[in-house]
Amino acid sequence: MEFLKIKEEMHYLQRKYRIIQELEKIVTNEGYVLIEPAIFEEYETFIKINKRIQKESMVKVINSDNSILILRPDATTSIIEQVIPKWEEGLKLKLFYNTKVFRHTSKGIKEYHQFGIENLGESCDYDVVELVFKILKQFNENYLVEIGNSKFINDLFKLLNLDEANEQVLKSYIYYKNQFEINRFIERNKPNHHKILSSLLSLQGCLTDIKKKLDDFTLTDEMEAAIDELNNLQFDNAKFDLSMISQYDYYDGIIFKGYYPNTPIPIISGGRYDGLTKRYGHRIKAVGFSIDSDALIREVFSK
Amino acid sequence: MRKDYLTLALAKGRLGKSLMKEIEENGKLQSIDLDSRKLIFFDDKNKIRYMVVKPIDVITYVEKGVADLGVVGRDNLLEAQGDLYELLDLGFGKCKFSIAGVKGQKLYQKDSILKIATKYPNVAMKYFQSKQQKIDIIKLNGSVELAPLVGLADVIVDIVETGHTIKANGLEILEDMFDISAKLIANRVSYRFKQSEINKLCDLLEGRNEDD
Repeated sequence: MEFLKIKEEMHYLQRKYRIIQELEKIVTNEGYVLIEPAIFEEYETFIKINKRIQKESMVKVINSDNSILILRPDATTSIIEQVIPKWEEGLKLKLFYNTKVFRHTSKGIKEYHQFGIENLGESCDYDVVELVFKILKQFNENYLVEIGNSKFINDLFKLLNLDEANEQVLKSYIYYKNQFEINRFIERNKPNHHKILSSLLSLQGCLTDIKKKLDDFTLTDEMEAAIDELNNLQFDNAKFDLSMISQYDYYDGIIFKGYYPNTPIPIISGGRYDGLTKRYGHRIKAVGFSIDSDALIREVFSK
Repeated sequence: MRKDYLTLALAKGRLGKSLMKEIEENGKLQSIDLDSRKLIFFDDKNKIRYMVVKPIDVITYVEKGVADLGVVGRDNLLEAQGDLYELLDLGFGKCKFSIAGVKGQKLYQKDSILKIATKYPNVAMKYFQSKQQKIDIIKLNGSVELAPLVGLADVIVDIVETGHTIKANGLEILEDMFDISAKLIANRVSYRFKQSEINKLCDLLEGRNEDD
């Protein structure tokens, strides 16, 4: 058996670079400028802000003063940390990055290439989601974007009024779309307002259908607002899902994931995270996404 | 080839057989002959491709997206929770995760660290951690019941269906941990792209009629 030779490897590297260049061209045309996120983060600060992230997945490094640092597990937190303390009223920033993030896996430390954008200081869900569609379409006509709104679920959880442990358990059932366990949970705990909860997983597809299903329920103003935010995002190839739950708990507003049929993981994921900026000092409008560039490159090469 | 088919990874052995029995009784889907040595089967009427794999590998096939769906026991899901969807409880393959040990022995006072032999180290670890019991896990790949008899471990953690094997080896159940049954799991991306086909199959498996 023969393996990849250096010449072929160079050829692949060039093709990869061209894909990244294509991405850069799309985002710079929209006015985004390059930012270099810091590679190290303080461990204590990071886990205080990202409570649900798995501590064992973070790559720790010891600093010369014996404090513990981590190699950035995502780019967004680094960027927000750099930008927010210097924030000025009325500022609008469009940033993009092309970088690596690091995580421990069962097979050791892994580097992941990430390309992404952050749009700060504006409420521009539409523009950012439109950009997601533009990028996906560029590399394969056959794609889907699932869009949800974490405000809907967050407000539902406020109504349910569960204790912390039960809330985590229920969120994980929703994450796995496990209707069987959700039903059992309702039987066991009999929470208030469980009618929406028991139909939650059926609230997906096109927005008109979802709204029709929601006619049976009384919604809070916040839930209505969450659905209104989705109204102008009804692009072709968009699938709405109000039961979408993100592994990062800093999203508070629209969340989305972009897929190609032959790649078993999301190519693009992102959403609105105004709440994260608040934890660093100023609450500002913030929405962004990251592209798993390794997965995107594999997808392009497979054709 | 058969591009618009749904691919379903099926656990070899007990669960696979139960699913085929279920399908035969149901009458809507075409059953396959699990005793043949073939690993891939087609149900051309319902456009389903079956892949027969080891139970523990079902999750891997579904997570990596080579199978859209999988039928797997909850025991395997508890041991290796992949990033997927758990769509249905299929209602068969029912058994229990239990702790068993040699009959009549008071094991918990012998030593501060309890030695546990099991095929499911993650399940055992999590369970005993929640009880604050210190343990030492010995991972075995089969004939777990032997371990307490020959002094390899104090107790075992395993799935128990009828309890015959436990009894036949002079062991007894000390505690039941979780209920187990067969689950239908789906790849998160396939679920989006093939949602209507997957929903249709879920209805068939649940015995719901299309005209309902």
